[in-house]
Amino acid sequence: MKRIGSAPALIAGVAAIAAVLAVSVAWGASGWFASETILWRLRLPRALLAAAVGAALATAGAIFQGLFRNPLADPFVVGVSGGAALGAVTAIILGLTAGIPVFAFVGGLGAVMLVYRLARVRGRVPIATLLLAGFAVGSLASATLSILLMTHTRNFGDIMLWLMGSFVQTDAWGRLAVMAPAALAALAVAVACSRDLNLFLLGEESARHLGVDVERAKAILLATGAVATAAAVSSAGIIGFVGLIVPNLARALVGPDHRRMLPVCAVLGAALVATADFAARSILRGAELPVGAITAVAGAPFFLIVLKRKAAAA
Amino acid sequence: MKKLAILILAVGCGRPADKAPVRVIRDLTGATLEIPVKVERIVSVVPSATELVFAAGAGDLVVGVTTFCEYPPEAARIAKIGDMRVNYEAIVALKPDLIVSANNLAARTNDQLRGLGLRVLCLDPQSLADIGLSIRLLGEVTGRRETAERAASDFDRRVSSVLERVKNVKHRPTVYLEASSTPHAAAPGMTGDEIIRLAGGTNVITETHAGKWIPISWELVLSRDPEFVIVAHDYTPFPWDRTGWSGLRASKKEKLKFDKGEFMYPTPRLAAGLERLARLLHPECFDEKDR
Repeated sequence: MKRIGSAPALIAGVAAIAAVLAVSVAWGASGWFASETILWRLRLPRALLAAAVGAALATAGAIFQGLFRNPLADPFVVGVSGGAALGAVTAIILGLTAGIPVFAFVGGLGAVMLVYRLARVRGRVPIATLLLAGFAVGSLASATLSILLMTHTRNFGDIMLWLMGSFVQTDAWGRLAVMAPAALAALAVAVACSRDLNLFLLGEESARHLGVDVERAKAILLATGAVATAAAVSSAGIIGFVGLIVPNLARALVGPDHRRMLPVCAVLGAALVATADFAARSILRGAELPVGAITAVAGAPFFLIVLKRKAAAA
Repeated sequence: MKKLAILILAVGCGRPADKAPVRVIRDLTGATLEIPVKVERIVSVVPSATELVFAAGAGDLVVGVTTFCEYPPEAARIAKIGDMRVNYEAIVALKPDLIVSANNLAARTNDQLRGLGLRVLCLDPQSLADIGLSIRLLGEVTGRRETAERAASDFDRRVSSVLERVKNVKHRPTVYLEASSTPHAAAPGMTGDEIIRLAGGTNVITETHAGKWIPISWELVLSRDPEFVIVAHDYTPFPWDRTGWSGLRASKKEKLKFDKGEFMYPTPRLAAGLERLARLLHPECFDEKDR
């Protein structure tokens, strides 16, 4: 795949977001346009929220892929999704549906903090240990989740919808007020740390020799990625695949330099999730499909095409 | 667990159903089924089937139910055999001579139970008319024909009385009946949809795919502005907690929360749900005294 400059990529991405937002506001279950309530209180905030969630997940994905030097890392590797899911399902089972975002956020961050503590050995947090601890805590959370699902079948529908990711909710403006700053802050911190991220690509030791305070940078980046992911998950449930493919796509487009790649990544993530959510509420008219299923179904083949082209070009 | 259950069957108690004299009956789908001449121990694996057995006057024969079987209250005191996933060992240990179930809810469970040598009678009422038929069938199966006949004809009479009262209504108000907070709605193919129609109303949800438990778009509900919004579940958020509620015609009326047992499941309680809804939609069709 041919690389392009980051300016054209950004412009194309922003144009795509604008187009999706326009269509999302104009069209919905009740047809073209609609009452003011539907336009400004349902469709617009929902589309903006989807864009913000997409930007946060893509940015977090780029951070974790850089941190772990692994293009297969995604925002959920350090246990955020497992912890957040456990928190959200607890809220659903307790009947506290209004508390889902808070429970999910706390659960997601709690899991990452646990992982970080477990992986810390004599003041250092080796990347391999961090991954393994994340995997273990994630497995523990998902096993607990399975047991809760089995024993609380009454809430099955609500739980599944949340686990598959969905923007079906009442207070989209309210959640956007949290989500948009979280996404922007994560992007700002990541861009500020992009030199460190670039040096991480050379390996931890090399980065240290080149003057990076490795442990500090790791802690900052991990916290940033975790907060962005936890905010995204608490807004819309678990939307898979975005955090995995978008950074790879951005890298294929503008190259691996994080200074250029991160903004493109955020913009593409926003466009992708906003589009996927529009599809989720439009494919079956009047019904809501889980957006996470759409991102995976549409994203996987698209990603394969990009990979194939990249391999052919190399 | 399945192997263990088979073992218990083989060495423990044998298969009582094999020794007892049997006869052949036909279920509502026309399929034939061999059952003991005298049914004495029933296990129900579906809540609506439990209610139908009790309605037929054979509740005293029920020895096992699911944790979801909360109606009638007596059912809640019977031994539990699981929820949506049943415990086969617990069922076999109860030595039932008949399992009552439903095809649409428990097809896999039914196959497993048949594999264990148990006799499974499926009750899948597709409409209100099938409910009376199901109760009569259970009366025949359990030998409680008179009680069952009384219950079935009482149910049929209550339904036809409502139909008679609302048959000439000019205006059929639009109704949104919510079955869960996700939100799921009563949609074509679901019991709630039939109740709305029979009560002299019009369901605002006409999308057939919505009947497959796909969440409905709230925007769709807002744009159709139903005259009546009825909640038949206990989970927040309720419609009045959602964006745009105050712009609906229904927001000017009182908030309506009805018992889901009277709207969602194919049981004789639907008669009460139908009466309640018809009175709400067409108060002019009912006398002062029966309001």
